Amino acid sequence: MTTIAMTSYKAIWALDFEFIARDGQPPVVVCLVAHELLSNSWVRVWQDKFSAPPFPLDQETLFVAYSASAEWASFLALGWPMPTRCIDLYAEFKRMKNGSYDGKIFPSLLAAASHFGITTTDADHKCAMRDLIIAGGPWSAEQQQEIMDYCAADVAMTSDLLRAMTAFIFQDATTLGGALLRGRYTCAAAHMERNGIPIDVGALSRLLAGWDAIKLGLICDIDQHYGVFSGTTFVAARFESYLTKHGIPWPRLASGNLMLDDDSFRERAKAYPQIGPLRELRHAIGKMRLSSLTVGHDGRNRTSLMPFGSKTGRNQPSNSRFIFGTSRWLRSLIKPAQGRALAYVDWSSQEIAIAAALSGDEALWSAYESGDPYMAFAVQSGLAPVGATKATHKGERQRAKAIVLGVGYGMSPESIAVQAGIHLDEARDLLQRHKLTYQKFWAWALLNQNAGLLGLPLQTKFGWTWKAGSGTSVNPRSLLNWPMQANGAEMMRLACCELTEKGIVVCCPVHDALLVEADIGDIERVITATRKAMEQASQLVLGHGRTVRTDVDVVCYPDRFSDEAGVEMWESVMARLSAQGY
Amino acid sequence: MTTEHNTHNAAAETAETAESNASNQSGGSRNTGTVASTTLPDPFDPSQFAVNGSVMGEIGVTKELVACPVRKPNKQEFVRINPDSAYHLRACILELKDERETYLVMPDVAAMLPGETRTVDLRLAASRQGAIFIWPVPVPRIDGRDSPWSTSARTAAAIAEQKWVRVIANMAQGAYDVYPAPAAVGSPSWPNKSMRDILAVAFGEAFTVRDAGHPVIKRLLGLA
Repeated sequence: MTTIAMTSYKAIWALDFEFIARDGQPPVVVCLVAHELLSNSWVRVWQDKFSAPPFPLDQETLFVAYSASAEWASFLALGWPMPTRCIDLYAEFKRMKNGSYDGKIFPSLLAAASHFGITTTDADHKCAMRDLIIAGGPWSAEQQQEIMDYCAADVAMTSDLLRAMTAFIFQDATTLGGALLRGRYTCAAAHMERNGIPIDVGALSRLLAGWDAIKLGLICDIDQHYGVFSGTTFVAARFESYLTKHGIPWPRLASGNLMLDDDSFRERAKAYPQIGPLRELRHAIGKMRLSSLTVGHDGRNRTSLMPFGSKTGRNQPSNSRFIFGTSRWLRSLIKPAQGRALAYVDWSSQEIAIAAALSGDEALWSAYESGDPYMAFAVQSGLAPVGATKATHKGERQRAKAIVLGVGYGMSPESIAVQAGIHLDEARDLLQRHKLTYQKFWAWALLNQNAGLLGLPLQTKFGWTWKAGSGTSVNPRSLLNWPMQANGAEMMRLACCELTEKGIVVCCPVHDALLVEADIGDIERVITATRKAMEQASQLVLGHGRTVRTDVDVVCYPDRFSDEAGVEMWESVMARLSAQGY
Repeated sequence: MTTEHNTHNAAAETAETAESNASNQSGGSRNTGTVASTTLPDPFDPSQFAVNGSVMGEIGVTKELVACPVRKPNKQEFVRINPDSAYHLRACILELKDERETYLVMPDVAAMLPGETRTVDLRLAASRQGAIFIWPVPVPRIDGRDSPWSTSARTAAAIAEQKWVRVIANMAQGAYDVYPAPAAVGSPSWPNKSMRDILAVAFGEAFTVRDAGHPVIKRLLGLA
């Protein structure tokens, strides 16, 4: 292993902008402070003095920031090009500690610095300065000095943090390369956060104005198929009767009561689609906070994508601020402006392809390549005869699908039985068939699971890692799924980088999909470029020339985006709003 | 805009100490060639630094001995057994299944309870997560009519002296499946206590049957 010298770069700039970020709006830059670590020089620029970047942006100049996408958002606001070499210390610190704690954490710069014993800014002072900045000015000369000193303190902390993490980041070409690639993605994230998602602000205004008035009527509309509400209250006993009447199995708590959390509804709705509208209704009534959706003056939904927020390295934007985090029916608020079009391009069965390629299981890859991995499994495992199709063997395919999807999440035979609505014996048999058919995949999955349980780090193709910390609770099932999710996240990041660098308007990534936008006349070209970038990204992650296919849905003005699971709810809501004059 | 130099020298020092083998690094750049472009990884060409395999490295986890359950390994953990003979005790135990309690029974008391106690090897075991416990490993039956459960448990315990193993009941097989871990995964941190002290933590006086006057024995003999 060869440590890379920091002096291999001509300059290393730690930097921080202060800016004002109103909900849904691009940032308004207040000042910049940057520190060049090798020469120990400092740059301070107040908002009225910005012109060209005060440093070169070539590949010999390394930039370092904490939660870097916010800094590159300021670059974009100033009309500056993106840096070509940058490292986000948040991503690297998160990578270093990923799995060390139970639950979700967003380590702040103060927390990361404290971890290394670096002297930090007083938290109260930080709050006071943030308030002063958010107040928006005008600021006196003394206040300007205070703000820049505060900014400089964060920059000094960032410099110290880089020094403390040098051995971790500059360990060798592989770790540095991975850090630079993640840094490259923070530039893409800044572009996407600035682009935002076009929202039908007229429909949103109607919803905001009329929601409370139509809620009760809406419940009556949807509940006529279920009979589980009393006024606006969900009655568990009535729901239990509904389940019994329709023969729908439902998970229960240790107490014997039905599990009524949203996750349970979501899982059950996959096997029993008739539950879907009820789930949307419950979510809408209980958790929906329409006013939290951050929409800018130009009608675009913008919020931080929170890159690397999850343990798999995926983005983790706020569910209430991000349109794709809200109830599915609300996605119908997404609507391209006049003359514009949106394309939702998603990787097809991405997890299966990753599992097949990285495990080297040729039988599973062949099932993926067939275009219908569920039918292929049914045939490979002897459930259906050679030549069977979705049309001729629908039932067999459905059962095979439940297994193929379930094993990716480490589901037990009991869970698969409940999920697929089949007998436990059949679930056990199907699971055994899967193990016999895809032996190499199972050996690989068990290796990952064992390594995770042993406390060894798991890693992706480009070095995102996770390892169980001492005293943490490790869910063996999540260890089965981590490699697929985390490598899927690598794929997504690579594609976002390629596309935003080519100038394509990527509105946002949505798990295993990208939402891109263009003029109607240009959308086909953009779709072609997007699919190509996504396929190339999949080849980089999977290796051996293997490609994950993509599917596309296009929406052109005046149509709106929609999610199949939310169409009924959307139409009910809009009809009620119209009927009541909203 | 202002530019300044100050006396914060740590950066320069760090840079000097970190400078070493940069010239050995391979890499390229899609930008115009420079010294750095030939020595540093290029984020625009990720294939340069892609890694193979999804598992890396090694860590060790320890845990303070504040309790020491007497139990079998559970199916979700890797365990090791202390191979030192000082941590190996053949003994009689009494298991109350309903209460989920295990008692250490002195041999002369055990002789009073035929069929109630069983002889086991008490082995000091550790999970990868640092949990220390006593694993009662079944001993061979005198009549030679061992069950596959017992023999496979002994096999697992023998392997666990050298390697981390995961022991999972295979109901169809009627025996335990044993999964030894890859070789280089470190050793557990054993408690710095004698087996006597550890057994004292594991059983305590309440769960040690020294004579027939123990309440549990009285109950089993119908005397209480």
